[in-house]
Amino acid sequence: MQPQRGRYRPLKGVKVLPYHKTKSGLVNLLHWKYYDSIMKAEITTTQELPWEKCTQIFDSLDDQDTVSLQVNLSWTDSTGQTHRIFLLLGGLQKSQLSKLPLESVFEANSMTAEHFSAIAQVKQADGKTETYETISGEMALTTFDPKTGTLGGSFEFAGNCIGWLKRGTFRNGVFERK
Amino acid sequence: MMKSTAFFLIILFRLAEISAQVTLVKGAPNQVFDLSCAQCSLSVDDIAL
Repeated sequence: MQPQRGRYRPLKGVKVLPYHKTKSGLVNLLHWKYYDSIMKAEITTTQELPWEKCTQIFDSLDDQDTVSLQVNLSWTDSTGQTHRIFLLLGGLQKSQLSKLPLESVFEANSMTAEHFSAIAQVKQADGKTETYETISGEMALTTFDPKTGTLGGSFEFAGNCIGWLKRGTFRNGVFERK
Repeated sequence: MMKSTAFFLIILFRLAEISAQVTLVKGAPNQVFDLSCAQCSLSVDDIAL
């Protein structure tokens, strides 16, 4: 099978794990921009401002542009302890985000741009944090509205614990933001 | 003198081989996390594209 040249364009937006909303410095394509007449400059905001004519950065992309969707989650276990889980649906074309559900799997040796990966930071009872990196898994995105930021989906994955000969399996992950 | 030096060198090499076989990564039992357990909750903090 011949590789399809020119099928994927350079990846835009956030494409690494984990995404830090305060420290990232990367462009979040879900943010909004408007021209500020006082500052004489284009300003980027996290939310649409009703009193300004804002456009979402996402809108300026072509349907064939390649993007990655990052979802930062907090999981609270039965003891009340909260852990962080970072999901990445990478190598998607913009047009795919309007054709849901969208399913993606982790493939270590895959040559395709489309992929799923995850990182979990689990706090143990002794206060130490264990970090797990995906070795297998899958994710399904069932709802996503870039304008409102609402989304929903499910995932499962197994990961190796960094620094330990230990594996963590994360089952029945279901998330939704309305 | 030469023999004792050679002996110590051999001992040194053997010690290096033995120490190189020490496992640096500790092992621990695998864990399964049921993210949808009865008293668990999963919330979306932030999304980015």
